[in-house]
This record gives sequence, C-alpha cells and structure tokens, in this order.
Amino acid sequence: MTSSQPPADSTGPLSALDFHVLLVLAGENLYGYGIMKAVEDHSGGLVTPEIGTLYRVLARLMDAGCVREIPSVPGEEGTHRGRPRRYYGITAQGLELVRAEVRRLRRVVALAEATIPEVVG
Amino acid sequence: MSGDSRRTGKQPGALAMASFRFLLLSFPLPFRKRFGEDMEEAFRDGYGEAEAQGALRVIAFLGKTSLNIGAAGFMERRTLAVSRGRTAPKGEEDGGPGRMGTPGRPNQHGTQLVDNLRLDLVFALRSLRRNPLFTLAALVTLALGVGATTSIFSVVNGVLLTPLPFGEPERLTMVYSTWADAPDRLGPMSKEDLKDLQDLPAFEAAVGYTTSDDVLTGRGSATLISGARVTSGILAPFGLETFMGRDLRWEESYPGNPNVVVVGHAFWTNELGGDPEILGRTLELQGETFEIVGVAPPGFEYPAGARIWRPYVLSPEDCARSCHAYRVIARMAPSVTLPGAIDQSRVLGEQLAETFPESNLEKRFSVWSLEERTVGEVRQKLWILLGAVGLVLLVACANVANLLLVRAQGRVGEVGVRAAMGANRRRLIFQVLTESLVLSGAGGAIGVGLALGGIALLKRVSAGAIPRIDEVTLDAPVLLFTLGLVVVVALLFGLSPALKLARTSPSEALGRARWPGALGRRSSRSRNTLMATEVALSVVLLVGAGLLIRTLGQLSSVELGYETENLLRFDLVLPEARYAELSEITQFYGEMENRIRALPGVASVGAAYGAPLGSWEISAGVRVEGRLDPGPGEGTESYLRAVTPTYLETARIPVLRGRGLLPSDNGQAIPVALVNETFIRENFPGQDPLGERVRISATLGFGSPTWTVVGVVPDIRSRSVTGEPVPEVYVPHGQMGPGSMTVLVRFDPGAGALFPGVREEIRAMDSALPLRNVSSMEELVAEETASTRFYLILLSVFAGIAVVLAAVGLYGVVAHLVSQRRQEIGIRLALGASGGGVVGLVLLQAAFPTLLGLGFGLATALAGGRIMESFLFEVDPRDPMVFAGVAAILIAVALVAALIPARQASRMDPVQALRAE
Repeated sequence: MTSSQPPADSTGPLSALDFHVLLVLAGENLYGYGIMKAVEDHSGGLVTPEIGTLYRVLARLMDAGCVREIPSVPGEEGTHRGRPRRYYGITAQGLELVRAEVRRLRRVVALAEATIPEVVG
Repeated sequence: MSGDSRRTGKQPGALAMASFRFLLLSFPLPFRKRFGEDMEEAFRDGYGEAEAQGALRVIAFLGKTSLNIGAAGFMERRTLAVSRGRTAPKGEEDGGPGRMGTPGRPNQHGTQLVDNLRLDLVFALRSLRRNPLFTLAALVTLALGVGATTSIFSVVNGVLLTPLPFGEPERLTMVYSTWADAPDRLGPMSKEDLKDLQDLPAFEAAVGYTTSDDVLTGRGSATLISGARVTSGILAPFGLETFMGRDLRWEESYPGNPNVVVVGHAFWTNELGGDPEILGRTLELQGETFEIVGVAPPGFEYPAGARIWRPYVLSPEDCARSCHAYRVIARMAPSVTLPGAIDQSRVLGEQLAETFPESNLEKRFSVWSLEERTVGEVRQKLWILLGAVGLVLLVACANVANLLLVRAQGRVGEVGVRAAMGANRRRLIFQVLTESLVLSGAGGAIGVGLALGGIALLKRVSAGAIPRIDEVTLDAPVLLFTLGLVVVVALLFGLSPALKLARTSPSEALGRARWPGALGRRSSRSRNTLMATEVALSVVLLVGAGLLIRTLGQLSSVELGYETENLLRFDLVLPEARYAELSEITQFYGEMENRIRALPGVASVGAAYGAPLGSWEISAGVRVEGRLDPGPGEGTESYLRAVTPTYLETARIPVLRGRGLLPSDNGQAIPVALVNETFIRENFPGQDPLGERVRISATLGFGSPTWTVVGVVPDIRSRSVTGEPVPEVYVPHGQMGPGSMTVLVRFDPGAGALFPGVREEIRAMDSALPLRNVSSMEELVAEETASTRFYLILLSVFAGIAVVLAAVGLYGVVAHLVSQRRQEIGIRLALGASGGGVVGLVLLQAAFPTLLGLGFGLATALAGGRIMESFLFEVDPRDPMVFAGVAAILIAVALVAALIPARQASRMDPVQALRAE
C-alpha cells in the first residue's frame, strides 16, 4: 500500500478521466457541469463522468496543484441564477502533467508500431 | 460550448434538491464544505438538461447521479480514512496539499477502493446466489415492503405534497357563511354579503358561483353540459385572463341585462370547431339564447369540470341578505396571510350583524385555503395510511434482519478464523453492508415494479374516496424517495448483523464453533426482540383493519328508513320558460308517472324535491301557529320536501299516524303536510301535532307558507348514510311545485333494463328534457361508503402482509432454535422424554416473543386508537371484540408457525441428532 514517488514524466498512466479533465481545462476554463459536458464531447462519448466522480477527481487534481479555481470574470458567464459560478482552470503543473502523459502515450504508440506494425499500421 | 441547453430546462423540485443534499451527506464534511454548493449547481444543470429531453431522461439522470454520489461519497470517506491511518505529512488537514502524494499518482487509492468495492459486490452476489432460498425470501419480503410504501407515498406526494395546479395556489381561499353559535357549519353566501366581502382589502378578487348543468339545445338532440353560474368572471380569483374576448361582469348578474356566456377552451375547440370569429355568436341553453363573449384559457375547468360559465341572475329586491346561494372563491391580496383574511372577515361579520340584525345577527364568515378544502379531509387519513405502510416496511426489515442474523450466526466461525488471521474488520463490515445494499437495491427495484401496479390498483379502488387521485404518478420525486428508502432499509436490517459479526472476538467465535450454546444466547435475544417487534407491529395493523371491518359492518347495517333495493332514480329540471305555472308542472309529473307506471316491470313511481342523498334540498325556519314568535336565533329549522302522492309508497316510507298525501291535495285544496318524528320532538314535544298549523318561511315557487299537519312519518337518513336524521316536513307537490324533481322508479326484481323505456317515455313528452344523475339508489348509498371501503381494503392488505411476514419470521426463529438445540433435544429424547414434552418445550420458546409482542401491540393500539377515530362510524376505537379477535388470530397464526418445527423436533431420531455434531 506504500509507494515510492517517481518524477512526473515517468509515472504510470493517468486515468482516462483525469487525463480528459486536464485536457479540456487546457483548452478553456470551465465550471463543473461544463467540464462534464466537455469531457463527454472530447472523448466522443467514451468518458461520461458523473457529478460525484468528477468532483473527487477535481479535488485530487487541485490538491496536487494541477487544477485551480479561477475567480469569476464579470461580464462573462460568471454568474448564474444569482449565484456566482465557480470556474476551474489548469495550472502550469497540470499542463506539465498533460505533456508528460502525451509523451508517454506517444512512446506507447511508437512501441506498439515498432513491435506489431502489421496490426497498428 | 454546449452548456447553454441547460437554460431551457426547469429547476429540480424542492424534494429532488433535498434528496440530493441528503445523498451528499455520504461525502465527508470537509469535502462537502469545499464542493457541496458547486455539486448542487452541477446537479441543477444536469437536471435542467435532462428535463428538457423528457421524463425518461430525468429518471435516468436521477438514478445514475444518486448511485454515483452514494458510491463516490463512500469511496471518498474511505480515502480519507486510509490517509488518516497513515502518518500524514505535517500540517496536513483534510484535503490538505500533501494528501494525494504526488501529482503523478492521483488515482492509486481510488483504484484500490474500486477494486475492493468490486470484490465486495462479487462476493455479495456469489453469497446471495449460493443461498437461493434465503435470497428469495429476503427479496420477496423487501419488494412487498418497498412496493407498498412507494405506492402510498406516490399518493401522498401527488395529493398532498404537489401544489394545486393553479398559479400561486397559496393565495386561493374559499369563503363561507357560518353561524356565531355553530362555527363548524359552513353554508353558502348571499350576494349582498359577498359584495361587502369584495370590498375588504384582504381580497383581490372574490366570486360567487354554483355548479349547474345546462341543456344545450338548438344543435340536434338536447345535450347536458356541466357549467357554473357566477356573480362575475371566475378567472379573476385564479389570476387568469380569457383566451379570447372578455370575462363576465358583476353588473351582468342583475336582471335586465342581455344573456351572455363564457365558454371553455375545450368546448370551443371541440363543439364550436375552434371558430376564431366565435365572439358575438350565440348558444342556445334551455331554449334561451346566450351571446358568447369570451373563451376561457386552455385547461381551466373550475369548478368541477365546468365547460361554460354564465351570470347567476338575482335581483337584490328578491332576496337581499337572506338568500344564501353561492359558494365563494377568493384570491387574497399579495402579502395578506390567511389569518389576516380570517380576521378581516370576522370583523366584517360583526359589523353586518349590527347593521342588519334581522338577517345577519347570527351570521359570520369563515375563510379557508382552497387546498385545505380540496384535500384537507383526506390529509390526516393519508398520513395515517403512510404510517401504516411504514409499519409493514418495518416488519419486512425486521424479518430480513432476522434472516441475516441467522446467517451471520452460521458465519461466526468463519469470521472468527479470518479475524484471528488478521483480516481487516472494517472490510468485513463493508462486505456485509454491501450485501445488504445489493439485497435492498434488488428488492427495491422489484418493489418499484410492484408500485406501478399498486398505483394503478389504488386509482381503481379509490374512486370517489381521494381527491386529485388522477394526478398521482410514479415520478422523479417518488423514485428519489424510494432510493432513499432502499438505503435506509439496507442500514436498518444490515447494520445489526454486520456489527454483530465485527464484534465477534476470535476466541469467542472459535469456542462457539465447538460448542454452539455460547454465542447463541445473546443472538437469540436479539432475534427474540426482532420477533416481538414484528408481532407488535402486526397487531397494531390488525387492530386497525379490524376496527374498519366493524365500521363497514355498522355502515351496512344502518337503518336508512327507506328501501334501496330495486330502486332507480334520476333528476328532471323543467325549464321555467316552458313550465311557468304550477298546473303545467303538476300535469307534467302526473302524466310522466302514469306513463312510466304502465311500463312492464315497474312496480311504482314517485317524485320528490329533496329525495334521499339527492341533488337538492332546502331548509327554513319553522313557526307554529298560535305560539309567540321565537326570538332571533332561537327558532327551529326544518327541511322541506315536496313529494308526489305515490312517493312515500315508492320509497317504502310508511305513514305512522294520520293519513298520507293524496292526489286531491292540489292547488285548490287546503295546504297539508306530513312531519317526521324529529320534527315532532323539536316542535311538539309530548304533544300530538295532527291538526296543528305550521308556517315554513320558504317556498319552492308556489303555494302558501302555512300547512296543516295531517300525518306523521318516521325519521330517515335522508342527507347521508352516517348523518343523524333531521327534522322534515313533507308537502304535496301539487300545492308547492317545484319544476326540479328527483324521480324514483321501483321495479320488480329481475325486471331487466328499465332505463331505455323510461327515457323513451320522457322524450315522447318533451324531447328537450335530459335525464340527469341517473343511478340506482344502491349505487348512491355505495358511493357514501366508498371511502371507508377504500381504507379498509388497504389496511387489510397491509395487516395481511404483516401477519404473513411475522408468521414466516416466527417459523424461521423457531426452526433455527430447534436446529440449535438438536443435541439437547436428542439427549432429552434419548433419556425418555415424550414427543409431546418436546413440542411443549419448543412452543414455550416461541410463546415468549409472541406474547411479548402481542402485549406491546395491543397496548400500543389501545393508546393510539384515537388516531383511528376519523375512519370509524359508531365503533369505539377500543372495541373489545376487535382486540379479542386480533389476539385470537395472532395466537392461532403463531401456534401454526411454531408447531411445524416443533413437531419436527419431536420426531427427531435421537441417535442421529447426537451423532450429527
């Protein structure tokens, strides 16, 4: 149950949901339900987060310094039904994590292409 | 981005929001503080979007979200527990920055938790599959409990919790006349009083109305349409406006104005072809022409499915403040509360009493919320019903808990070994709870299916007993309720076995594996407690059902005073335009009676204004000639019945003394009357009323107000089956009219379909005269008892389920007891104990929880009997027959349930029993 703490770019795979959440936030700042919809769109319906799961992921990513809360921007979709909406955005660290994951995926793809070109190609 | 579609949808209701917040409790507090509001916002967004795509999407959304929130909250709590268990980095509080280790491994604990959960689930499913009999018993029990509770809650939700389908329903009130010395009696209002009421600042709009069917003529055959007559536009109190044209005006309810009518939207589209040029066209009602001035908005049908509205024309000279004709619906002004409106109306009543003592001395006004008047009568009863079904659910939970305890007992050894080897106790509890959740979830799913059938059934048996029952559906709030129920139920029956297992110490468990007596005692105590609870709850339900059975018996044995068998009844209203004179009216009814009497199968026929359980009646003050006039508020009142000579014979009401009414008692003869016994008691106590002259200060159109008493008739239950007899005066129709009469046709038993022949005869006399409210007298009486029968059916079903569950539970407990004491019984038998002795021994064990439960149940029913009073008629809630009967039934059922395993025990082969261990 204990673990060593390897550097970011050599860790194991991010979960699909973590990755997609970071990915959509890399594109724009979004509020909770907006993230759910965007993840669903981006993943082509493959990843459909529910409210409880999403906020656990958000909590985790925020604790890890990958996602942060964005103060609402007046004039934009900042308020909703009289209440301020909370927006989330990606941090530099989060961006780095996405890059690392993309690099890892590339390596996986490259490895797959080299090993079984007839299947992947 | 795509988020904007959410704005098209509606907001979730308060119940949905409350349930979501309740589910959020599964998350640890710090997490809720951090994200709770935001999650609620996301829930609103998702709900709105689902709502825009239809009810199925809403149900799917609610289902998915609740399961997800429950599971995610559970996992979050475990994550927290695990991270607390480890040495946390310095300064780390819940949700602190060091909590998840490194950014690179955000999912580690989650994965393990999901794995654990998956394992628990697999384990639960496997263990349930391995015990099909246990699983089946538990599922059936839970499905029955959840299904019954969901059905009743859907009724409570649709009838009581969902607001009335009007805008700002909390501002709608009903206003009645009442009396200073009898404030519970609610009566109609007079037009002049209403006018003063309208001037109160408490009310924004107040309209008087009566329901009245109209006969649509001039468009093929005459048809009856339901409508209302109003003092002014009835849309105003509802805050509505016409779909087209204008609403009616106050001035139009005075004589001398042109005939106008507002038609309903459905009437306009269906009967008038949706003609856009309809305003200014005319309708013919009862042969009179009415100009259409407006069309009501779609869906508006107040009161009672009205399709047209026309002015109630009354002149102030006719009957100023003494003519009480209207029910009044009023809209309170904004910011006025119900107590405020009640206060202002009370002050007005007192002012009018001073200004107009002759009409208003005793008169006051009573203001009620429309909602209270619509569903107030059933509110308490429905909550009681929900309570009753909750008891059934508790019995079901106790039963499943019992089954689980028995199983837990069997697993103590296994658990002890695992604990001794260092298994995580918390994991163990979670595993048992997962099993409970799976059981209760599956039972709940089947229960929802049962509830669908249950609701359909409820709608059929509740005809006439429950207002708004058509609006009841199994909708999203009900499903949320059921979901919550499933969780609570799982905890109710799962927690005690789970904790019991967790508390088991290895040594205790391992010791028990060798000698089963050790732990058995403690767990048999909790099973006895559960058993006693089940019995007690069943007893309470049985007493309720028993009291209702007695009530129904009392209702059906009520002496009505007239015979309802083989009696057909219908109403006729002769339009004044064509039947203006008394002679025309009496001639019509005379000829009609002759024609119907000549039909084959007809024994007799008669007609009355004020027939039993009928549409019309009138009451007025009584003066006895030769006595001083009573002071204001001190005189007696009596109901007035105008009857044809053959009416009493047709209704089988005998004349006790004097003579009956004769055909010769007509407009030219001396006015005569019959009085009933209550009338004599009130007006001629200890005297002979025959020959006395009484004056009744009301008329039905014709005749003098003074009548000579020529006969005495018995009391009958004329106003309702359960109501006490009232004073009554019967006068000849030939001397008073009126044109509106209820016709009774007594037919020979087995005479077949009479109605077509009757209708044919009446059509032959007047083709524009529809027959109203056609029914048999028995049907009318049955309608009166419909609500008692409805509650009886439900309570009996609940009590039945509870007793069967309790019996099964008792059987299980005793059977388990026997299997536990196999060795001991074997030794006894080997030492020469008789079979009867063993049976007695086992029964004695079963007797304890049964008698304890019986005692508790009877005591509870005795103490709580008063809440049943509103259901009962002439039955004491502490009726000894019911209590004795319930005790006898329960003891008999318990005896049978315990005797089966007891007899098996007595037939045990001692050698095998001893060898088994």
